[in-house]
Amino acid sequence: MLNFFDTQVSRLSLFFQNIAIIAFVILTTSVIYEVIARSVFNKPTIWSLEIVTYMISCVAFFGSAYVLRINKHLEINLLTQLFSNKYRRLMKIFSDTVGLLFCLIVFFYGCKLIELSYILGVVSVSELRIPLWIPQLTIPFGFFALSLEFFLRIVKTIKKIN
Amino acid sequence: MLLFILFISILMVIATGIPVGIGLGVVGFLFYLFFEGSSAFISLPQTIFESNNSFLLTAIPMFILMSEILRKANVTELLFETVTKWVGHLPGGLAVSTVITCAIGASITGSSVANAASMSIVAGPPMINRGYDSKFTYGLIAASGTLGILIPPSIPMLLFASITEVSIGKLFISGLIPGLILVLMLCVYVILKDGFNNKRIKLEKASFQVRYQLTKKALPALCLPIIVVGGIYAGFFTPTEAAGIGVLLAFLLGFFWYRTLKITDILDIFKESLHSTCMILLLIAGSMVLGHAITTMQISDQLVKIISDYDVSQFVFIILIMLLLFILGCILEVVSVIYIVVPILFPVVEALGIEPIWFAIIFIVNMEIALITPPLGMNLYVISGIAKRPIAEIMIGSMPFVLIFLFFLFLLILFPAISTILIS
Repeated sequence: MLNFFDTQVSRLSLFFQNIAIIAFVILTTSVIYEVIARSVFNKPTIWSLEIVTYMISCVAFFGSAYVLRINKHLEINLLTQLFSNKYRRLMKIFSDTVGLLFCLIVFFYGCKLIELSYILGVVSVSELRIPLWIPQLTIPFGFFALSLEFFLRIVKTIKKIN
Repeated sequence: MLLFILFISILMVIATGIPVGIGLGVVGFLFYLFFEGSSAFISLPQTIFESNNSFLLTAIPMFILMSEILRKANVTELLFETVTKWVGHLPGGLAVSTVITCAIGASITGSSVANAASMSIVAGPPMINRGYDSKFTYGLIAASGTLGILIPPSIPMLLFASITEVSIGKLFISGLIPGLILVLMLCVYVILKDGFNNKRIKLEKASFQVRYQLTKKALPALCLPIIVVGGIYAGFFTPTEAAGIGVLLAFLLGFFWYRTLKITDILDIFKESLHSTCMILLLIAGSMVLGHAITTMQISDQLVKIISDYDVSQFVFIILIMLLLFILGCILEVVSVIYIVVPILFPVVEALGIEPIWFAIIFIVNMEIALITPPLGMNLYVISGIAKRPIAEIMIGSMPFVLIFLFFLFLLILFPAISTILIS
């Protein structure tokens, strides 16, 4: 059961990571395209700057869950290292639960934010006038995946204790 | 008082071992909830969304990508080899060449951790094979690696500028002279300490022909930072655009000039850069939530009032801040220190009429110390992981350098002109 769930979550995180990589590539190419278009051909684009700022949200939030899975987010384990195995695991369950709750709150109110932006028809203040709920989607998606990863971490630690 | 509670709660939450970005977000959210009530809920995702919605911050993934491409293209090896051919036979030989390569490496990366990591792979084994003890070798690399954030480009400087709206071009350029002085001090130290040690296996003096060949080969890589940083300073590019140009040039160098990159490396380069980027961006997102709460609580205003009430002089204020930063630097890592401290203190700095660029430079130098002071010095951990040496050994090895850095910091405080000479 756990293994099945783990595989599915890992697939999702990996899938999101791939989206983040694509966003990263788009980000890089539009920055380079813009600077060449502006400085060499003297034809600045109107879309580059805006696309770039959306892509960076995409990179940040779609990529985060996988980075959590491979433990590459910065964690400071100085104090917890001093504890015995049992207390360290209890502490880990505690901190992961806090992380899970935080991510769930961001996920839940992220959905509300999108609903609000959608109903109010909020658009970006630039010439593209992109409805803001589209880039804001990165928040609930990203934090949903983060919640799943935190949940898995808790389950795995509990399993180790038993 | 409020400030004290805030600091304590941040430290307590982070000490649980929660990912730091999430931890900072949790503290910020709880404080906001306590002071502003339920409006905290809906403003939470909004703050997080806006946190990364900045064109200046886009420069961060670009700079990370640039240094990752060059690392994959083995440019660090080439630089080390070239520098060694010039200075390797002199007293202090390889140690001096390590310091200088770290300085050059700093100009193609914005991160000290990345700089120290690639240098410990490239310069560590040759130094140890030539009879340097590993304490000295890795302590030296940890310390010289920190030049990464002082010599432009620098990710912490970018963060500082994005919070305070200080000109990033000026800030980058201001790091140059202090960076060079620090390089000089480190070289003098290693020459005095180790230069006349007869136990070292001496390197042969390289012929001019060899030097010329290698320098010619390394030259394009050496020009890259000049184009990137010079372009920002001259106002020709924004930092993000400059970093974009840097990425393009790095790819061109790797594929066509050095031919050390393969097309299959691209995916790995993007993947590795994505992981470092996500780590920093999540930290920024959490820090922004905290910053939002700090602004709402008007902590800075209270602080300004206290300082004007007690008539604290500029000098005393700076010394107190440096002490605070030193302590925070021991237990936290650089990005979080910047995001916790700068929003609170910068208004005070402005109110006291302190030169912001100078403040930024001494702040950054203090953060260099933070990278090599235990218990949490990121450079120590990274090198310990790569070199497979006990962390305590590297800590002891870097201790003399902490003293040098403190002396250097004191110099910068006494003579602000060192930091501001290029911009005035």
